[in-house]
Amino acid sequence: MTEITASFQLEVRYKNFLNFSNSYRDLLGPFVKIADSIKITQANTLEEKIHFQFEDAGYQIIAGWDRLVLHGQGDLSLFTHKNSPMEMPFMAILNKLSTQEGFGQINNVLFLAIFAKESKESKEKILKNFQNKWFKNDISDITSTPTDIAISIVEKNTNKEITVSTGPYLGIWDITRREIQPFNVETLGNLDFLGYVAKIKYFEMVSKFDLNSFKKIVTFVDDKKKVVWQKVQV
Amino acid sequence: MAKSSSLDNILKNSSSGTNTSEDLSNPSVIKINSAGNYSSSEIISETASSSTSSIYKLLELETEKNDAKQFTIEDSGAFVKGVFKSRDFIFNERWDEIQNVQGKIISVGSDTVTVDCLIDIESNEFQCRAFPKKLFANIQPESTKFIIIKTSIKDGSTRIDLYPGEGLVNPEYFEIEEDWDSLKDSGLDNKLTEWLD
Repeated sequence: MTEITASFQLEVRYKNFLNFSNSYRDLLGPFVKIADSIKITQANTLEEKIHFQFEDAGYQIIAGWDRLVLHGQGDLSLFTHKNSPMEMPFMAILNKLSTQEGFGQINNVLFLAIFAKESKESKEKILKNFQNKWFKNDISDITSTPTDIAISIVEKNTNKEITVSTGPYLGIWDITRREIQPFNVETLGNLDFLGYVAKIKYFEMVSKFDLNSFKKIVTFVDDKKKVVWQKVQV
Repeated sequence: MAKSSSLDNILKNSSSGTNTSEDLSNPSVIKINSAGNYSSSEIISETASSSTSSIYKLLELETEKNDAKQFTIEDSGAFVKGVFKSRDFIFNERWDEIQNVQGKIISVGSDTVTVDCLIDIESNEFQCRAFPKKLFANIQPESTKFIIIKTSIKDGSTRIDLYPGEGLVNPEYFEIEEDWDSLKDSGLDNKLTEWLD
């Protein structure tokens, strides 16, 4: 049974770094050496961003005046081990930025991941199964033959927000219509299957961020994903 | 701007590899490849959201342009040149694991280069590893102090890429605090005059 991490995004957000667009070229220039390619967007504005693209490893890092972003796909555990791309270059870039005079402080961290898991059931069976698992009441009076269905669970308190959304996975469209998309769909393998999809979002107000913080978030999200798969019994 | 003229500009810029300040002054998107060439393109920003789809869109447009033209035998050289120009984007290998290790060159031999590799930043664990000198052909190990060793692994295959580490490697990780002075007069440097029981 296929199981994939279709895409994920980590955002470490910091106070607006006013001098970023003037200073990042000198500061982050050395990282161009190890990137496959780079892209600069919103050039010559305060919001200028540099995208370090690592195509063969399936991720990119985007540095801007208010956040540092890791956008990737594939097995999350590949980003949590020693000397992984999370440590070098992501944490190395964050450490470099944070030593600058104009850098204020880290405000919060956001992690979003989209998972899909294959089921051998038919589309109709998957939709029916999902309804039976999650809804106690009959929903046929709302619509007798739903073509798609989803559930979203949100937990929010003063410094943390967790959102878990899940529903049937009815094809590649269930991945490409999301707010974050795979970096390179071709390397994800066959996505043309039926099953279930889970979107898990983790947001927390923090003032520090390191590799261990990332590991904790990934472990948390991975546990939630396992619970979701257990609920739909894939 | 018409798409065909934008495409012409991209191809002109990427084939010539020129970097002028005028080109950088008003771009919507600037793409720079590993060879240091860049192209500024309205097509990329208008038609594609991700870098990969941008590249495929560009290839698609390039192919359309090639298809539209009737090639003669005299054109075959130019056609082949155009095809191979974008190969590096097409064949992405999928690696199961990528490691980026920071290292300090400690000696250069006739066949090998010995590097102090920082295996674990937290526990300050180092390993001394020897690499074939051939791997250092592009970075002159005699004049380079720090390097990044990128190791890509998949079933049955490993690939090692080396990059100059100046500006990437944190030299503080390699500073060893050896407090020899504290051992002064501790008696450890006294000669042994007899076997101890």
